[in-house]
Amino acid sequence: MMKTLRLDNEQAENAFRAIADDYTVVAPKRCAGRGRFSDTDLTTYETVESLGEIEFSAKTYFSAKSVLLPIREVMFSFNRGEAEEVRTSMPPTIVFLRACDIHALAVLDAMFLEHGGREDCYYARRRENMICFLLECPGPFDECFCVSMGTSRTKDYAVFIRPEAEGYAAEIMDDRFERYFPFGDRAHVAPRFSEEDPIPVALPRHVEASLFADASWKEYSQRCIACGRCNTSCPTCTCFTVQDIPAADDRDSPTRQRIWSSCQVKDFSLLAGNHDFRLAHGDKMRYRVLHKITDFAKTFGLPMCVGCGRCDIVCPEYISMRKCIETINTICRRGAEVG
Amino acid sequence: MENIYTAAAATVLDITAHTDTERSFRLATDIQASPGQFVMVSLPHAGEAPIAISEIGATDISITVRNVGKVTSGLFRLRPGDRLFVRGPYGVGFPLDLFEGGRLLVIAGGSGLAAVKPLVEHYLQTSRLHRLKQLDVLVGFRSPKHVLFKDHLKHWARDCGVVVTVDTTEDETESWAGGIGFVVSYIKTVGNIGPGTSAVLTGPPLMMGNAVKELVRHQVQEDRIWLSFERHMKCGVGKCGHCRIRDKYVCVDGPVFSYVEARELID
Repeated sequence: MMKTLRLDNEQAENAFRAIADDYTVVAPKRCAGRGRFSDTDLTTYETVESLGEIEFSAKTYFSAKSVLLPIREVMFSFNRGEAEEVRTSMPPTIVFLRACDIHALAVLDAMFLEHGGREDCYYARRRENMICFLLECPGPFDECFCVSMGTSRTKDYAVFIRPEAEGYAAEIMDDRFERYFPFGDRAHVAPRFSEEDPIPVALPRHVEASLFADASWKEYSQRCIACGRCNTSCPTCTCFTVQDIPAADDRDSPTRQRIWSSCQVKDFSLLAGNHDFRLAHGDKMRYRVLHKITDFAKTFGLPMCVGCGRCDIVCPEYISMRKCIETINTICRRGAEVG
Repeated sequence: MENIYTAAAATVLDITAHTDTERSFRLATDIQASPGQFVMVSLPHAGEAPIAISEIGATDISITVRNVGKVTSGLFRLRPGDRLFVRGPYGVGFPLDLFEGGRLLVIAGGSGLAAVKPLVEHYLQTSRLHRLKQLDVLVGFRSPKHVLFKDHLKHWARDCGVVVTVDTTEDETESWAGGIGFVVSYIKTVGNIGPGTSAVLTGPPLMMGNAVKELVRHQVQEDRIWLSFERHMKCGVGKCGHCRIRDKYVCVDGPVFSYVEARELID
């Protein structure tokens, strides 16, 4: 049964503290002085102990995907000549997410639980212990295009909490959390979702072959510096690379670790013998953008991009995903007319 | 929960040196593979790499590698009796059902021969010889000293058409009795190429591209041309993302693709 209520600050903090006793809670937090430019703050996902610590109104620079996919993790060790799995476990963890980021989980699930027909055990174990709390958007941020991507609304959350002028409003969707809220006035509470994008985006329906050789990618080669920030900030980028790291105390028992990878960074596709693919930065960009808007959807039926706009925010060259999609549309329209 | 990344140890049974930089390793393993599939081979410290299976035995498989990377140079330090780690088999192999009853032309460039060798050997087993109307193998190498599987090629020539060519015989002291020139230019020497022919290609991308054009010119149907891809991989099981081309992952959707699929796979 769904329960809705309003709480004063003290009630809300008490409820939150009780939840935080039973769960790890990860939420957006404003970290003073940690921003990209001097004297700016960084809003990013951190473990929080109280509601007051949560930054409800700003967008996070990074997504919360590192909860499920640590930047680096040990997969197994070679012990006495045998590969021995390192059992990782994540305590039950609540993550505060906006609608688009909740939709992003479907993309991660598709890759790690479905693709190739077999589950990734490290991801699956964490995912089982993850619970979503919904963060409401204060209206679309400048770079958002979630409405265009169909990710602006969701029902897939356990609890929704909104700070109000006085206290908080909450909607409890998951029965397991009702016991933390033994009070309240059963007010009408429902999350408000974005209704309109600042700049709507339409995805190409068909990718023309002419797109691949188009001169626009050469132009992007001049701008993109292949830093991979668009990958690291993206809630749906999942590529990883694997490294063997010697153990400090035992040279014969290295651990095999995986670490985030980036299709924009050098050597992503490098074969032994030095044969490589997509060397131009513009071609790497095309590879990433087409995956986000069409290639992933061909396999899984949903676009990979959730329209969070983080890649626009983090790009040091101010390259816009929306603008790039628009360019692709123009090229494909032209190709369709000619062809 | 099953772990899809851990590998089992396998003992190196024997090692065959083909050239200065290319060797085959026969491994004791219970891996049951089909022609065209690959395995992930790893050495602690050096890492892991996808490697084509070059021979399928009842209780063993062979891999053939060129000493060009971190893992392969580690393999070159192994001796018979040493152990490495192997998992698989992975990927979709050649569509054997589709080849049966027809004519099959196998075209390989250089070390690409390793990936198609189990396919040729599959059909050259006495019990399966009758399953194809015709089998031809066209294989090209850089020069006579780069030729791989010399004895196998000689042996195969008793039961199927075999043409071995080299790009050049310059700087070679030993005499060369085979063809000279690019392997693609020898396609026209194979008899009966046409709509009833299936073709399998492995080798450098440029060679495969040119071979496709030549085959299509000989009326081979595009959906009867099969290519085996080579890509960087970190998992082999559709998770790491490195081998993706458009909507296909070479590790789980390939490494064998029909040309109809392959022509859409623009990097």
